Amino acid sequence: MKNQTLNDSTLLFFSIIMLAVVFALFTSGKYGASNRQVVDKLQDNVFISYESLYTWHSSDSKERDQLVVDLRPPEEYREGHLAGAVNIPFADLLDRSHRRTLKTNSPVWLYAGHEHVSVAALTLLLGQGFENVQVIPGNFQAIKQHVVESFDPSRAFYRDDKARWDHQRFMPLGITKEPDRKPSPAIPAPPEETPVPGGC
Amino acid sequence: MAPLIPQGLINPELNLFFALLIGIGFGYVLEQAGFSSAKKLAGVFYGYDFVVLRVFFTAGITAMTGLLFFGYLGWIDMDLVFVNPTFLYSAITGGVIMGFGFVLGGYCPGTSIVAAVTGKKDAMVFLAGMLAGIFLFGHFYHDFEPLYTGHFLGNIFVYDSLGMSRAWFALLLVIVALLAFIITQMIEDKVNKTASDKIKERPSYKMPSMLLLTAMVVFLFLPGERSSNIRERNPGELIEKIDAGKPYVSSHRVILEIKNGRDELVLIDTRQQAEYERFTLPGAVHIPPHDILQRRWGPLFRKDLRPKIFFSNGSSNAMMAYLTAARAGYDNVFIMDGGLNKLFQELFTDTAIPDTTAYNLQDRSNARFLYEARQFFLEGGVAAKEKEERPRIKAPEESEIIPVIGGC
Repeated sequence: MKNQTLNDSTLLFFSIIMLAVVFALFTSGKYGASNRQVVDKLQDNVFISYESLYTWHSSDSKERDQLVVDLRPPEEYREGHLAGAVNIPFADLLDRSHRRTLKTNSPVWLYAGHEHVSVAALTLLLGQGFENVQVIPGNFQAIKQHVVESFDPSRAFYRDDKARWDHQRFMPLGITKEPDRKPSPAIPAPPEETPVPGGC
Repeated sequence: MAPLIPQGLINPELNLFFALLIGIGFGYVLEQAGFSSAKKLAGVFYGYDFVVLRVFFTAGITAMTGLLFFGYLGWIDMDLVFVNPTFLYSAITGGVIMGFGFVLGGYCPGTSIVAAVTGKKDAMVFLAGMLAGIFLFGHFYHDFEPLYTGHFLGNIFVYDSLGMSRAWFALLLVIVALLAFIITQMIEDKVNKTASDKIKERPSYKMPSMLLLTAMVVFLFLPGERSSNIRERNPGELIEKIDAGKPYVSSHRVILEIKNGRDELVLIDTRQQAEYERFTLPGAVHIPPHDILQRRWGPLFRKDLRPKIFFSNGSSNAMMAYLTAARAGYDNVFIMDGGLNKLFQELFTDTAIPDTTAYNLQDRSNARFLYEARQFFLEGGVAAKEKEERPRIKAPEESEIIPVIGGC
């Protein structure tokens, strides 16, 4: 019975660890996805193009497959917003009632008064475990100007998208003339397979 | 005390004091366990006493179990735990020399000191030899250097080299340790010709062994990484901060910093590598959002007390970087409001200093500030400043980590 202390202390040590592990498994914690997972997901294309937003905007509200969220305060939302957008103020982003709204199977698109606020909301929502969230590039003014009032797909976030619609700016072909930036009413077909250098 | 110092719980200046305390404790335990006797230590080679092997295996698996579970529960930040980098040639040479010395003298470095303190003469000779070796190595370091730093493998882990997961390796190590305990006990009994009734009187270690195995099996089935961590900031707290506009730093502050060159801020470029190479702000360090959590940036975020300012072309990439860093619990991080776009627009849009009374003092001083800054930037003041001083923060290379001498 000389070494009973060893047995007792190991038992104590392991029971504390096991209790902590069981406790950790059954409490959900503050986040639904680890910081590393969020960072990895931010690497993907998290910005949608104005082209897809324009398609959404001009389609019938019943056929729409995406949930567009306006992150501005309610007063600004009331003054004007994208038709069909749901208002979830950034300050109340993680409220339980809003969480239910965001828990849809369709993609969630975010916009706000500033682009970095939408990005902040995106990062936080990814951290909560939401998968299908994307950001509309630009602030509300830019979106309103380039999608609602006059459609300009070259105002995209990614360089590839920009170059697709405004390839003269990215691939100078010896044409010195200013490119015709007048918006066309219908979406023009993208030029066929233009090789474009670079990432976003 | 390693993880307690970067967390700020222990003053680095007290480090040596604690090292002394721990050292005295370690020496006391070694002496009490009988490790000051060369006979006991050399028993491993003759098969009559395997206590050294058992002690080190026990220490290893106990520490391993603790680290694995504490790391999983978030009680300890594994990124702050020092991992000794592997230099293959020096590790092999050192191992051979140490083994040779162990057989020859009957001590390992730590135990030789304990034995010398208790007055054993052979240990004193051993200690003198060890010091002579240290002196020779130091004196001829230049000749030894290629061997010493040869075949650098970085901070590698055994389980990565074997291509198995950490949990499986831990389980395997525990099984190997338990088998080693049983087998060495059997060898010991055979060599010492222990009577069978004495063997029966021994206390049973079945329960600790079973607990250890169970713990390792449990760890095998735990989901890989926990989604949240007790050291992380609350999402609600972050939302409040951003909503109140606290993380933003005006581009004027950044302009002032570059103009004065006083090294009061750490500017962090969060754009793509190509963009950073083409242009960046003077003295800026390049950390894209997905690199922020890397181990090597830990010291910059935890130990550097200057405000860290993220910037990108707009504010979006900077916001990603800010939220990643803020969530990880790094304090003193900010975003440059408006990014480079706003900075250039403010700096290089031609605005004359208004001299009418229609402008208030604030506007006038702002305009004057920008005007002076523009003069400074356009006349090459930045280039001159950069030539003079402001060393760029470089990412610490893996090879720059100084290996720490440890062991028993």
